[in-house]
Amino acid sequence: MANTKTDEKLQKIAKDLLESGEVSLVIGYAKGSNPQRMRPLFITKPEEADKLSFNHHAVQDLAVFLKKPEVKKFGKIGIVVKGCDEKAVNALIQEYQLSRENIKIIGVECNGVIRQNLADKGETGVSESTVYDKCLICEEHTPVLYDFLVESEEPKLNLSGSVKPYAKIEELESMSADEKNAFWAKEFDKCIKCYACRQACPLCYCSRCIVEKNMPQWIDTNSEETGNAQWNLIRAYHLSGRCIGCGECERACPVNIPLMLINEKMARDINNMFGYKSGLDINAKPVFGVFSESDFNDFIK
Amino acid sequence: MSRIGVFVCWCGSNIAGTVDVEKVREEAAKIPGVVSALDYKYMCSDPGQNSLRNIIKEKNLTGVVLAACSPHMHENTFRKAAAKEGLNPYFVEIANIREQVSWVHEDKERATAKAVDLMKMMVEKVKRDKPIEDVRVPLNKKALVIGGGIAGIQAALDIANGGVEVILVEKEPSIGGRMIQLDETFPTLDCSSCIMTPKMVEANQHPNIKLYTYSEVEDISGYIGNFKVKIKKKARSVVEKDCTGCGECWNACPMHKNVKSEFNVQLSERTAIYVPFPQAVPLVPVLDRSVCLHFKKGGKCQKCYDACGPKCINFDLQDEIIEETVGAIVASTGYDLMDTSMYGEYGYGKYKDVISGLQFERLLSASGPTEGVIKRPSDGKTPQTIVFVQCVGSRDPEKGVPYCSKVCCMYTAKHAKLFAHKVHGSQSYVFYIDIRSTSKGYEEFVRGTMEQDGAIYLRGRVSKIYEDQGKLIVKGADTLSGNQVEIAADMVVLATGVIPKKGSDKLAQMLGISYDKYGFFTESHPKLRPAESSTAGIFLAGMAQGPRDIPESVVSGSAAASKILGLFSKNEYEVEGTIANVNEATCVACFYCQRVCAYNAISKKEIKDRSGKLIKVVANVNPGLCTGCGACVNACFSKSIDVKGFMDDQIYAEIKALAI
Amino acid sequence: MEDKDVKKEEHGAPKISGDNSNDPRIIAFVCNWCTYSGADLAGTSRMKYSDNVRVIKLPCTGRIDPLFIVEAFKKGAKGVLVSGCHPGDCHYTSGNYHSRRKYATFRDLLGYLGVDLDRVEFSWVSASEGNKWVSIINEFTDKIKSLPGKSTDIFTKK
Repeated sequence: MANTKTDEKLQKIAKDLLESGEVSLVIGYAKGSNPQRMRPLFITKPEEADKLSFNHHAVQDLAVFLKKPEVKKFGKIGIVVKGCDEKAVNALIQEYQLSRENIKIIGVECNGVIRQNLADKGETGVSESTVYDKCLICEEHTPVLYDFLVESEEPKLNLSGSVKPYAKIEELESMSADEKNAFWAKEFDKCIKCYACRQACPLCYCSRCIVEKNMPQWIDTNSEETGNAQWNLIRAYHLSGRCIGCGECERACPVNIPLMLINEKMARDINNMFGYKSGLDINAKPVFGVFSESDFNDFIK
Repeated sequence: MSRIGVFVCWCGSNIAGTVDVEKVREEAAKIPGVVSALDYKYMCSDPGQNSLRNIIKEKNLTGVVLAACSPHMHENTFRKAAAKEGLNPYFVEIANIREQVSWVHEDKERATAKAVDLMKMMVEKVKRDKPIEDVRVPLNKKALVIGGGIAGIQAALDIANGGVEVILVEKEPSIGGRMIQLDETFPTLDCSSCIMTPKMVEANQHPNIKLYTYSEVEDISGYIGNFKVKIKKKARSVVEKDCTGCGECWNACPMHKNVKSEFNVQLSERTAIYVPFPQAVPLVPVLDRSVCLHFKKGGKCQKCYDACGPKCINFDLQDEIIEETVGAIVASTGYDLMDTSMYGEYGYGKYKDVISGLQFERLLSASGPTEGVIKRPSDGKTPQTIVFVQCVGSRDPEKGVPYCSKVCCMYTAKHAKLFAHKVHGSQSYVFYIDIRSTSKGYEEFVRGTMEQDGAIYLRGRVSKIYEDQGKLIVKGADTLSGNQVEIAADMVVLATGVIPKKGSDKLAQMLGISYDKYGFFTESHPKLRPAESSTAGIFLAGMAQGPRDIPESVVSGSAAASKILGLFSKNEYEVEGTIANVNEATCVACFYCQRVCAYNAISKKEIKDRSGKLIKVVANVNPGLCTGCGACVNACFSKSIDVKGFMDDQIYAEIKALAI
Repeated sequence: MEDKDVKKEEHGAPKISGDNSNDPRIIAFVCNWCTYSGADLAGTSRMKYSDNVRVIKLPCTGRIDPLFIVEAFKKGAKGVLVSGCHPGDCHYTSGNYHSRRKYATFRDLLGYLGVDLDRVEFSWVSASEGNKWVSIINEFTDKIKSLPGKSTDIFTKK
């Protein structure tokens, strides 16, 4: 397949970075054997750069690899990121997991990535009915921070308003406690404690996860409803104010638990309560690292 | 293997009247790990404590649980008793079955069941207690006082008289602060200079005090007992040890009409080389290079150098950085007055004869710009009518500050009184909201100003001041009579609100102490620990903490000094060992713990291998600063930090002990 | 309370069955400096309050982790109370400010997942507010007793 202009620009940037030695590793996307999927690519030599590519199937958040010790040991790294993924890089910098000097952010303008279940059926068009919910509410089509920017050739997403992203959240909010409980009990019943959600998340970087702490064991490891509820509760709680909405957790879940209905809801409520959105400013203090004397207090007697 | 002893106290009938103490003891004996269960009428009494100690010894106990009154009553008592028998005092836990059971519940069976639950909970907690040693931090027995006003000078003198070396750092060319700018002080009308200058001289000459004036603190690091301080001694351009204070240099300086005197609050001029006031300590001038002709116009003018007898003027002197290590610090940086030009209706900054309270002090002062004769800044005439406006900027949540500046009611009364004494036949008017005259002799003083000195006090606010044919027309309200008033005054004095000295917030950040939204330094506890800041080893004195008058500033300086002398009475500083510990194996250095720590106790630690290569970065707790509050544990996602005395596994065990 | 609600064991003190929603177990996590002292004050003033509550003392609300709330429910509590110093009065300066944000977030999340928020309560009780402590405990206990017996939270096995 011929290279697009986007691909050529990406390849040049990566080649130059590796040649000059500014980075030892570039993480990006490459076309796979299946045209509906892109796979992550790790290149260390400039001549490998011509494998880099980017299109509307580049769904994965490559920032997840930045937490891996095998990747960290490369020191200076270049990474290809869409706007949503780039927020993960920012959040990692805020939390001292990355230093700004050691990462070269190769930002790509993205107008939406196609849902993989639709892509697998042959869908190749980007529209409000084919992309993920996160793309419909995205405000970072151009990443907020980058060292290089590769402009998109694709047209901007046309939002007619007929598709309501995350509509289920409002529906849930209006349910009674018992109804909500029944909904989530049914969802969490499916959980098999594979922890794919955790592994796919760029911000779940703890070397010993809370669920792995056994003295004491706060979060039950058993895979039945109460243990599942505790796991999903604690992950959502730990991600509140930090989750940047890449949706990889939900995409990775083998039993299709709608995790983004929780993460997106919490992101909205954190913004409402504390005026904070994660991943937009590397100099901002994380929402649970600060407080205000006038913080929301109504629920306290 | 746990060997726990449980002691159930009857407390006479206070507990036993409602709780079946023998049943609690029986239940205790059944718990695995409990090797002794006793009940006794008064555990806190001598025989009670003795039986505690005997059992510790006989049964070789590893932990003690007392089911008794509140730990707030006797935790220390029983801990000391345990320590005497060689048991780590932190292995003593108390189940509160008096204040929180027998005194508040009525049903005996249920109260007993609750007492049993609480006892079981504390047994599980004490089984998991870890030995806690109080942490000892070495002390450098030297103190640093930042700010040489009355509070700082008092603190420095008291510390020095206690046999401890003090470094006193002052930003201005001379110590003396605001007090030396005052004329006479309320309520006694002491001459401020007369009582202040002896203290200033004493501070300068005291063998234990090292005075750095025209100097600022550049950097502070470290912690209690071990603060590393960098002091920038700004270049005076005068060699201090050779200067005799003769004054020939400032008399010779050609720049005598261009620079406003800061000391006289812009009411007069000073030269480029100057001492701020005649009684300056040290009496060594400073060359202000920002206005000096020599520095601004190519080094030609050297009139001061030529006039100097001992030839101690040196244009090439540079700023010096002095490094000191001290064990404790006093922050006493004082205050400024607000800029009230934002109240357009008062005309400060617009009309020359509308002045601040501090400016009026300078006019009253014999060493001031008018040598103590009250003259209008505009035309030099003697005012016959002065209007004093209280609460300018203070008590104003909208445009100013919401707090009361405390000293203005008193100094306004003083101003009115002194005006009456100096200008016979004159008339003062005072616009006030309330009169706050609370200390010894204060109320009588204000009454005297009203009744003997004839000042007219009008309860109301001023709406506008404007100039008309050389007079200042003051329009205001007199709410007690219900009238609008209009006064043609020769001068208006605004009792201006006080704010912390400019740059206080930067200093607080450098020191790592808390400050409120106005910039005043915050005390560790507003009632019970008013001399200590939130950071161990740093103490507070004077207006830097909040509005106060001279006696209170002096007392606060002495209080800070006494805290430091108490601290230095030992060779080491003992911190309660209930501190946080980091599990370096699992810490991923996200530093949320550092963000929530109110005591700056968490820092970065690099773990390196033998060849110096970095393995990982982790959080590190400074035992001297940590207070064991546990905010860090809550902040840590992976639970890689824990607080002794309230560890995760202890709390888990306590909850489990209460399981249904 | 009737006899049939109390299971007496052969030896030892009578055991209260917390499964019965008429006699729920309430666990209160409190801070040492303010609320614990306030509870002590209620005691020295001989005020009477409902005895379903069991207090676990922590140094500061800053230490009181939402995980404890979950654990308390797992261990059979029917109501959990968290109480500490009023904002601005924290003995450790800012512990309660930080935890206030966490509690607001956790409570929001719990509610969204279907936990009956009536079962979790937060309060600021100062060392001088013995009477506030008493009314909070009494009101909370009564409220928990009035909630339907069927467990609506997702942490205890059905």
